[in-house]
Amino acid sequence: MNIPYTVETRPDTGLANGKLGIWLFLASEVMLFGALFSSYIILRMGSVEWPHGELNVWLGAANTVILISSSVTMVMAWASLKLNDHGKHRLYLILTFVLAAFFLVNKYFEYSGHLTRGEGPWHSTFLAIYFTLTGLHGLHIVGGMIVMGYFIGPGAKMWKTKPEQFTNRIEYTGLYWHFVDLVWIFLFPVLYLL
Amino acid sequence: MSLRRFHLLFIALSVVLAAFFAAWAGGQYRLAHEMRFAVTSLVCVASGAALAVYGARFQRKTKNL
Repeated sequence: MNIPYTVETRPDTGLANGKLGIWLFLASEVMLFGALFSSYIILRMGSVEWPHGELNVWLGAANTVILISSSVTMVMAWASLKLNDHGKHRLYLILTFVLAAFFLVNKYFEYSGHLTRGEGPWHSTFLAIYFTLTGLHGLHIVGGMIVMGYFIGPGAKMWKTKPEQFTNRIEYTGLYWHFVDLVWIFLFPVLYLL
Repeated sequence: MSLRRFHLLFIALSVVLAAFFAAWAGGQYRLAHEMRFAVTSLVCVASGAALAVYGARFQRKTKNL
C-alpha cells in the first residue's frame, strides 16, 4: 500500500509527510535539550563557585571544526542527489559518516582522560551536567551514524526504484544531522569557554 | 524549513561562534600572553570570514535546488 504525500507536499500542511514528521521530532528534541540547558543555567546560577578550565578547549574546538565540516558534506550529499549524481552523494555521505566517527574518537579520548583522573560525573556538579549533556549529544551522533550507515548500505538501493523519495529521506537525515550539529554549536561555548 | 535554509542558518550561527571564540581567545591572550591564544584568535577570525564567504556562495549556487 502506498502512503500518500510521501513525495509531494500536502495541500493542507504545505509539507510532505516526512518533513512534517522530522520537524515534529526535532521540536521534541528542542524540548529535551532545552530542559537540560535550563538545568545547567539553574545549577550554575545557584552555585557559589563554578569551575573554569576543567575541559580541554582544543579537543572541543577540534570537534567543532569536525561537526561544521560534516554539516557541509551532509548538505553536499543531498545537493548531489538533487543534481542526479548518486556517486557523489555516496562519497559525501561516507565522508559525513567518517567525520562523525572522528568526533566520537575525539570524545572517547576526552572522556577517558577525565575518567582516568577520577573526574567522573560523580566528581562535581559541573562534570555531572557536562557528562549528561555531551553523553546525550554523543548518543544522537551514534543515532545519526546508524541512519547514514543504512543509507550508505542496504537503504541505497531505493535510489534506483524511488529516487525522489530517497532524496527526501536524505534531506530529513540532513535536517536531523544539522540539529545535532547545532546543539554542539551551543554546547561548545557554554561548557568549554564560559 | 528546507535543508538548504537550515544549512544557511547553521552557517550563520557558526560565524557567530567563530567570532565569539576569537573574542574569548583574544581575552585569554591579554591575560596569559601565550602565543597560542593569539594564533587561535586570528585563525577564528579567518575561519569566520571563510564561513561567511562559503554561506554567501552556497546561497547563490543552490538557489534553484
